[in-house]
Amino acid sequence: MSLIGRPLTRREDPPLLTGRGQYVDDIAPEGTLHAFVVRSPLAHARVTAIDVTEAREAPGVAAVFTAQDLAEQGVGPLPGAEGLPPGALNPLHPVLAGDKVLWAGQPVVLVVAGTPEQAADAAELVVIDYDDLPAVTAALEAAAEGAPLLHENAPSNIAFRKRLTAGDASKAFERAAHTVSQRMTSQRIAPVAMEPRGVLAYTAEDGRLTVRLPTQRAHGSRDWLAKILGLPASEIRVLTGDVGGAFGAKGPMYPDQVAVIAAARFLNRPVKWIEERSESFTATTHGRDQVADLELAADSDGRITAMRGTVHASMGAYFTPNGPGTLLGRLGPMLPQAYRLEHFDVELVGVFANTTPIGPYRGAGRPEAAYFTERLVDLLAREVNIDPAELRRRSFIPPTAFPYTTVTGLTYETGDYHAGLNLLLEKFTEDSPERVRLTHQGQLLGRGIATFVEPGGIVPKAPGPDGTVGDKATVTIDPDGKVTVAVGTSGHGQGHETAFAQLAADLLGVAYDDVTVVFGDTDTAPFGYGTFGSRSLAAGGTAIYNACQAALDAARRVDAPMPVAEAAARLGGISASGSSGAPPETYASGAYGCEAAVDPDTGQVTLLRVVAVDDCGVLVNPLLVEGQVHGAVAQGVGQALTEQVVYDENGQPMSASLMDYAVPFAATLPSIESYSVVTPSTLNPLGVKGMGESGTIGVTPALVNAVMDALSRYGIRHLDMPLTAEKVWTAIQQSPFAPPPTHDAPADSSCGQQVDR
Amino acid sequence: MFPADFGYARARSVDEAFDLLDEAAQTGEEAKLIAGGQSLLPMMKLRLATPQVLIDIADLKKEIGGGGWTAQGASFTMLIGALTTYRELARDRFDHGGHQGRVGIVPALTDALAVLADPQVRARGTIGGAVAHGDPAADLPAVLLALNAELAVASRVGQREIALDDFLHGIYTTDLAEDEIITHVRIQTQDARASAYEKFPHPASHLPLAGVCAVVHLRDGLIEGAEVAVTGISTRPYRARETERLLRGAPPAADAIAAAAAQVTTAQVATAPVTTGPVTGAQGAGTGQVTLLGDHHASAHYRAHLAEVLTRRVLHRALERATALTEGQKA
Repeated sequence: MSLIGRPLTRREDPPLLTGRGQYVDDIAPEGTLHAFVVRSPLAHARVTAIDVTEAREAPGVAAVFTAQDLAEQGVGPLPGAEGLPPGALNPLHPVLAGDKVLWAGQPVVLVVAGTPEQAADAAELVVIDYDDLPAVTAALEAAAEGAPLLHENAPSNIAFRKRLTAGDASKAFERAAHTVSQRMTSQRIAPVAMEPRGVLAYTAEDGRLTVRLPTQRAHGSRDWLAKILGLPASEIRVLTGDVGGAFGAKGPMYPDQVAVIAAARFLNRPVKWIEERSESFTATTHGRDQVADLELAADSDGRITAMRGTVHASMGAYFTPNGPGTLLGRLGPMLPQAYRLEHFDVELVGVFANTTPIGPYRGAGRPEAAYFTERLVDLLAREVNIDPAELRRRSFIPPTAFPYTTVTGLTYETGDYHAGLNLLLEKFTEDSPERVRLTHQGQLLGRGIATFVEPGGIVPKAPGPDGTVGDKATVTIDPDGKVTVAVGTSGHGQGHETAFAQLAADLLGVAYDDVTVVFGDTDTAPFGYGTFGSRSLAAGGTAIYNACQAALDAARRVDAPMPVAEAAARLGGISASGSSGAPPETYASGAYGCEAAVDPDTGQVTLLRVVAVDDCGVLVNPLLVEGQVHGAVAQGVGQALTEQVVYDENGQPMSASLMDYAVPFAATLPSIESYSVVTPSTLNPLGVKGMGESGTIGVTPALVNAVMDALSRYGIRHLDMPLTAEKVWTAIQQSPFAPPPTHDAPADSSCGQQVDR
Repeated sequence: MFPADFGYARARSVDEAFDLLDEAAQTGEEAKLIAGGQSLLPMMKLRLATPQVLIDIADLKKEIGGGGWTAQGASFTMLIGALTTYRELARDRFDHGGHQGRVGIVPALTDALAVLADPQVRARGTIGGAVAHGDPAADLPAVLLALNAELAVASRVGQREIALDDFLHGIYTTDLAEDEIITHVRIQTQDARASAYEKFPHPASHLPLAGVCAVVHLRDGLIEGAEVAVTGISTRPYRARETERLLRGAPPAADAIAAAAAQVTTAQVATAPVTTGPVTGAQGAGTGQVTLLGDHHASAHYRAHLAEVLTRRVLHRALERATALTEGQKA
């Protein structure tokens, strides 16, 4: 029986759920020292003096490092960004701040001591003199003339500009029967993985630098580190161990981690650093932080003809390697979404500001593009006075048009957006008892939908160490029939071990339990680009597919046809490898519906229902797919309703703890209803598409559309996320259609709690 | 999350706890009592609190834990040991002197204990700690305040009793002296009183952005009296005296409730005579507003609005319960 398509439970769960996981903080070689990072308390300042004398003499302190110390060791700086347009700034990112700090939280001094407490105590003795400079934290303000300048010798804070054009947008707008325009923000949010970042570095018995690093990219980290430290990559081993969530933020190599690794080399002792939760809110990359001024044009039937406008995106104080790619490669090109528009003129502007650097966060440009476009499409539906589903249908790329090249030059290989929307509407009925109950209580009900297209499975163009492009996998079949699959893309919560074992067992015709999957060690796993951008199954899975085919070919060389395990016994074992090659990206799609209630007296929004329809091509494991939907929906709901990174006027972070930063709680989320439509990808032998991000892409606009539907009776067109109670209540108060205040005499007295007597 | 260095001593008796407090005072060390630690330890980990010595009183349950009920006619007195955890209180693990459990007689307590923090905190956090911390946004003090709770406070020199309303001073400040320990919380209530607690939780911390407790008693179809306490919006939980004044003698009707709730942030009771008929509008408004807290999560204006909405809602709920009580007595 085929294993592909079966909802197997995750084989990685029993050890993780019973405390047998091996996260970086669980590892402590003998003699491990502990690091504490002294960070800038100011958003923008000149560093005039650093005095570490007292800290160096504090109990247990092994060493204290400043920028100058690292410079003397030839460490750093971090490489800037990749794939920038001509004329872009690309400032070097120091490991420890030298004469200037650019965000509150930037690493300035590293203290290494015998215990974490000693390091934290000694850190309080470090004296740093700052000359405060005016700070700017919002992208639009940072881009404006006269804004405080972050980077020396830069004419402005504008990091880059790129304009994407096709057709004749201005003519299309002149001829349009309907247009809508809106300023919208996708606010700055924090990834908040369960496991914060960390690192443990030591010299192994073989004399090589060994780094335990919770990362999405074992090989990439090794190669970055080689450049930053000036070492050959072969002298470095990176092990990921178990990784407790990443969401894009554990992709890059961070300055604090580099400093710790450099300290371990200098001291020739194991050194460990584990990020604190509140530290994580300023030191780990944030996501989103874009402001879009966008317009849609449509003909008299509401068919979308053109889009134009500008998107400003904050990059934070420095580029992270993939920061600009979020805007340039994802947000901009994905704005056309599922629609057949022909004219496009959008300028993308990257801006530096005195904030934590921006990096990819679950979706990385995809949720922002879908949010902006799907909000505009709902506004258009209201303007043209057509049902939002019908308006979308009129502009959808029809199923017969695939492969379809969009106005921004992307080629969607397969899809059936009508089928997804139809299934959504079939499931997203209006008969929930909760709906009736809340309407009775005077709450305002709203329904919203959103459709989207999600690129996934990217294979970067840079060749691996063997000179070829592609993720690699090896399959080893021992004479006893046990199979080991080694793959370059590693998991950090998704269920890679389960899915990859299912895949290999199915392809090889062996028992699922006979397959072991290994990854996350640059010594034992073959090269891979890492786990990001919903790429693991399309790229890593294809590499495994090809390795399995090569193993089957080897088995066929035995004179008689026989199962692969028998052939391996006959041959004394089989070993084969495969590569993903460099296929183009896949394009998954989805249609999401949300129902929400608004309490007009308080502005409180309650999410009642989420219906998710996803088309990620062939499903290897539907349970893992559903798990991805649930997690991403939770994060998307967080952005829509409660999450936001807030800075005060001086650039001080105001949301740097879980007491202030509001992630969704399990108890506040409804059951998520997840359905599937399948149009197999034609770009890989498995027919799979990316799946890791769809929930954040679909639910955010669907939920905001639902709340705006509930608020439409007040004439409210648009509110920016997060839709906090006070924001919604204030908008209702300011509405000319606001009702007189109610007196809360409950229409349905049975809704109160039971009297406990 | 590494607290600064601190000493730790575990008291085996209340007397020994006094000794340890004395010792700290003599050596000039800043001492803090710790019981459940659910508020103090997070502050210490963030180094917002840096006591030099912690005196752990968790073992003193025999002396200042437990508690019990005594009944006298329709009146009940509940004595709650300071070391009683939220969970113990919710589960009513008390000596009832042969009577059945009585925490349910104060449904506001049950309401608050169900929405207060999370199960882990409720398992360790104590009633004494809840009042000693002086947190302006804690749930339970609002309920205790509406119930006219009194605290028994002990020191080497003796015992004193103080009303909770006099005990709470401001943000994290109380009347507790450095050599004192809260031993018990005393609540008196009557069969005919109904109560309720409602909160609007902060989306991250789940502390109340506003929380309101109401205790009401109906007589002959009118509100004979009401106690209303508010938390989360001011520098300390407070009694909304003007709201209470407007409710006295009012009918349990939406208009009267709304008019009373509209005065929930009024600082002082107006001197106008008590009206007995239906109250409309903002007649008899008091003078000035209580000091309102506001931050980027919720402005002072919005918190005040929430308090008004919650006051209406909690009064409706308490009155529903009071009506049910009256009907139960008739039947």
